[in-house]
Amino acid sequence: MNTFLHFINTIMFRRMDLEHRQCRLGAFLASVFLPVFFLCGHENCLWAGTSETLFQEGNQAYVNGDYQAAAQTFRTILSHANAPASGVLHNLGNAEWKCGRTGPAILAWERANWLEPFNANTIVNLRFARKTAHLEAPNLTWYEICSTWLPSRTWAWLAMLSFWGGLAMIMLPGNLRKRRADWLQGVAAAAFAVFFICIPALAGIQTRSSLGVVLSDQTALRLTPTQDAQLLTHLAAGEMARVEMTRGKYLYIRMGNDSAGWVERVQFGFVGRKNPGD
Amino acid sequence: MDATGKYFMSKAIKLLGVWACLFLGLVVPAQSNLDTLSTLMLQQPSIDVETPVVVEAQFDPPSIPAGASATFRITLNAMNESVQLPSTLPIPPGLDLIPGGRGQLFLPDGKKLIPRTTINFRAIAKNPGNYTMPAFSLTAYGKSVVVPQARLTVTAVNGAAGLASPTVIVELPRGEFYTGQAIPVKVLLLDPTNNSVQGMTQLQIQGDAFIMDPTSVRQRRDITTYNGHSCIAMVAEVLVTPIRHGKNQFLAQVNAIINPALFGPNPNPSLYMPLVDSAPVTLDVLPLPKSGEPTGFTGAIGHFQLEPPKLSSTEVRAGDPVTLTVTVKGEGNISKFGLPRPVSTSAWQIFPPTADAQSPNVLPFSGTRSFTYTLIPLSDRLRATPAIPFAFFDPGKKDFVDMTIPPMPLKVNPAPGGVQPQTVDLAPSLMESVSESNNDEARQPVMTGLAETPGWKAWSYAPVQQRSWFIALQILPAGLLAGLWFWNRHRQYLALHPELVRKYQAQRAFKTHLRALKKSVARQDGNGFVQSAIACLQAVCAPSLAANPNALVCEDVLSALSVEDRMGAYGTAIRKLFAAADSGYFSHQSDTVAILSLWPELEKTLSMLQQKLL
Repeated sequence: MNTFLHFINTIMFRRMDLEHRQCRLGAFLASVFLPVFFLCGHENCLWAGTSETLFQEGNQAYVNGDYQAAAQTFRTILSHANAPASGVLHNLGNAEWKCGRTGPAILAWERANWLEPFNANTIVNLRFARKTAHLEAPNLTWYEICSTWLPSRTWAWLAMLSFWGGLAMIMLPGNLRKRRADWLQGVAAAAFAVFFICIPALAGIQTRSSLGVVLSDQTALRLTPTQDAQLLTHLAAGEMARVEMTRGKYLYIRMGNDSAGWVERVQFGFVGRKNPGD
Repeated sequence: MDATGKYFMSKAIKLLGVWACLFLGLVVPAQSNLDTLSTLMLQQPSIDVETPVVVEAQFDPPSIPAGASATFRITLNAMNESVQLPSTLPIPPGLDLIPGGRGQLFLPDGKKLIPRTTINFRAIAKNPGNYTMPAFSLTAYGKSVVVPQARLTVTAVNGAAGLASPTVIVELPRGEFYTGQAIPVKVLLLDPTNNSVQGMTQLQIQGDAFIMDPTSVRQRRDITTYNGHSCIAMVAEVLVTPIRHGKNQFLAQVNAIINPALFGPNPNPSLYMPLVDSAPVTLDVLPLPKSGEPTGFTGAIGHFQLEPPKLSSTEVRAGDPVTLTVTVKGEGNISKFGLPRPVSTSAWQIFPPTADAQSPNVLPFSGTRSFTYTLIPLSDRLRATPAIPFAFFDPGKKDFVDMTIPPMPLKVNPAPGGVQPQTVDLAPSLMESVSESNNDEARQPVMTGLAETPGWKAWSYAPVQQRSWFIALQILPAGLLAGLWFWNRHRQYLALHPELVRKYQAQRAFKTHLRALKKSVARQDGNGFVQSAIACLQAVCAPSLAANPNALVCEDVLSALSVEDRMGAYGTAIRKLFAAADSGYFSHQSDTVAILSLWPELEKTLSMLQQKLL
């Protein structure tokens, strides 16, 4: 302990002047934010090279009318690149729809919307598919609607930066023996306001991650999670439901009309989670 | 009767008359208050549900050639809804029974209506022989009723057989059929004897994928050809609309009005109206094309033409209404399609179209249909009415046909006083409904094209806050802020205890000078030894005296020692050191050997003083 204190004192008394203290503030902020920016930037690095080529090949196959090949190419990109991209998912949804697979098409578009909620084309496609297939959009609570205003991962980063940033704005002036400037107080208040806005959105993201899409048409909704269970009803491909619990290879889902039952895991695709087939 | 008797009789008659007047005075006005519908209902004969149920069963005709079909008809005097057949019928081997039509009639019988329910089955036997349908029970009004046995004789095939009983056949137009299309279906009731069938009633189309328009039935008597024979038939044309695509079945059923004197069994010589049905007809219904549906498509399927629209006036002032009458003629579901909605614009206030109910030419399948738009120009710069999108699906071309109502030239004069007219507030709901519906149509979703770039990427679909590394990442800023806080607390503590700061500084200076001292000893450097030794002594004594180390003199250093040490060898060594320093400062000459010989005592002195710093 003495050694540690001695080390601290040595550092402290060697750099006592203001200039050095400002340097330390910069170093502190850099140590907090640089990893975040690095991690954000690293996402783009994951997606390069062959995936870009495959993406263009998939688009070309779609333009040529070979929708099966286009869908397969887009699926390959998503499985190999290990980094889902909203544009690929949008195009995969188009190809799946052209192949007549309503469930996978809506799942792909929902995932594209999950990653990039600002893409109007994806929203229009979802509306188009639901109108054509006579499906209802999922009923979202107010905080889930709030969570759709930004991409799902942005809320978490925003909450993190606003909370720690606000806390730093409060702590740093006192600890660095600087005057508590008005603008610092304002920034801290704004940061905490942003953080409190993020809380319901994060709750919405959390509950929306249990949403999923029925993949196969005439999917059996069972009373119990067994193969010989009593059949409650059949679900249409593309219907959305919330997963409430899992048991073995079955999921207990609740539909928008409050009907609930068990479906096989392979017949259901999560929007905000990885599925077995991904 | 004697006089007394006559007296009481006359009194009784008078009393009865008074009561009768009172009764009429109370009851008759009350009756006059009943509404027309209630009066009509009270006048209707009641339905007889109390008479014991009597069941009849027969094959019609009772004898058929092998491979032909007969109708196994069960008739009973009970309400249709109350009759329940057993789940399985005792069908004799070799005979096939296919469920057919089922209907109900009400036959007048004095003041009551007798329900008459008929259930038909289509009976087919491939081999000749006598087939007996045994008696079995069915349920009517919750009670079990016995259906008597019936016999069918099947003979060997002997050339083309004529009609043995009234037969219903269905004729469909050629071409492909689409969901929502009004199909003119021809139902023919063939007369077996050319004059026994007097007519038909209760025409129905049975099939869960079809809707019949009951207002479209048109009957006539005609001559037709059946199996190469000419025969008289009652022909009914009816519009049937498929509501589901795919292969769907339906059958037609009618109650034939038979002259009992000329044909058939005679259960009631005055009225014989058996239920006759057709063989099931399978229709392959296609869905409308998903792609290419134009904006103005409102469900019109057929072949239509647009007559030139008519404006109520070719010159109007801005803000005044003008009506645009549109007439559509052709064949198809002309009376069923939705009226085309105009596109909302800021230059026009457009009210929803109204169909012309007085139009005499609206027929179920073909004819003309007129509807009127009320338009209000809101600007004097307008030169024509807005185009109103309209389209229909032509089954012959298998494609949508655009039939947009064209703009009509119109001269719009400025409003009085040159004031630009505002939207009329009289019918805001209508205005909203038009604009909303137009917006809805304008917003009809269509599938968009491909994304040209891969778009936004992510590591995973899972929310970031559910990832373990994100939780771990929170340790970094938390640790940094916590470290900063501890550092600041420690700094404040040191500010309150300056002796600690001096002690730390003395320790650091002492170590530095001690290293230099040891090096001087190793080099046998007398002057260096003296300088370093004094610096060490000053540094190690400074914290206890709260003074600058460089300001300490020999007496100050000696004061840090105890009295015994001060007078002993340690004190002597220190004095010699300071004396050597003074002499070296003035004479620049020193006895190196003598000075260095002080090192052992000095080392002990320094170690003793160093203990005070810890």
